[in-house]
Amino acid sequence: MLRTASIGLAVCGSLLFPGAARADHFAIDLKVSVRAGTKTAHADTAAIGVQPKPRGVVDVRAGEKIAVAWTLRSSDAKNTYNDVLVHFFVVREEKAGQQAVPPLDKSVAAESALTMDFKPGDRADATLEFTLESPGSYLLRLETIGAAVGSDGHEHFAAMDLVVR
Amino acid sequence: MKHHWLLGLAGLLFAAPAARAEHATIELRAIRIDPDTGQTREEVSAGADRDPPPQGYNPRPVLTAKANEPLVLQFILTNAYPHGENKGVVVRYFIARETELRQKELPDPARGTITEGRFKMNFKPKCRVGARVVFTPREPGVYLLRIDTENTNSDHEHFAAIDLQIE
Repeated sequence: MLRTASIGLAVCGSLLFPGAARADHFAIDLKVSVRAGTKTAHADTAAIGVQPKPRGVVDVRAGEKIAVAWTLRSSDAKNTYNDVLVHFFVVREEKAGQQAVPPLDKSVAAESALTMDFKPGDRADATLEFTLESPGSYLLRLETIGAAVGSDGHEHFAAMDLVVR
Repeated sequence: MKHHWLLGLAGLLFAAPAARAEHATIELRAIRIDPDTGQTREEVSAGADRDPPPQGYNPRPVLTAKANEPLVLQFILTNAYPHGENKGVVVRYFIARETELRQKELPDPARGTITEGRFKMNFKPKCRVGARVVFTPREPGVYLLRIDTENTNSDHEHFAAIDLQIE
């Protein structure tokens, strides 16, 4: 409950100060490799009033191995972010590029999470391999939960679309 | 309901188990699911064991399934070591082929896996890491599903494992 309350307060802060300058507190490299090649996405900001960047699209065949490598690094020179949840998921979506993040109650092909304190310069990284068996569009996203601290606090994410044929 | 595993990981940040003799607790599950609904048909679970010896002390549970049937692996590992931070800890999981059920020799994931993952992070007391991945074994045979730790600055590492009998 404490955690929910703190996230709620941070979201309220973003509502109150939507135009405030937002320093990037985390750097993200999200790399997706398939037979046809590799694509990389970097950190975007998740906050009220902030339009996300268009996502890159990776085409892949059903059943083909998909390799993901991500790194999340604190680029804040002063502050420590405690108990940040680093959340990764691949979920089916209606169409590539859609704005809404699909609910994660079904059609989730892969998901992971870890909790960590991020002091200045600290990093976490991961690699995952998986396959998608059904054709369609999938959202692949890495995000922070609990990194929105202070009046200009916000979460960070990087995302791509996977189109399975 | 399927998503509750992550809620458990996040929600227990403030209520992780008290310090205990072992340095990690692991909840590993292998699940047969209905391909249409995603609902659980059958599941097998395993807890933490110690390495060395490489395959630990406890006999591994076995999940039997059919080739081309979608399965799910799911784990949550909680760091129960109460004294300070360990930097650069690796948590990995993989599914690799074995030659026989409950074999003693640890298969080398470098020779090929059905799925695998690896996290490198700083461990503080009560921190957690987990994953849930859908996978589909294509060929009949025996496979080892294992999650383990590396570089925990201890004289032993922890793991949990389940054998998969694919018919």
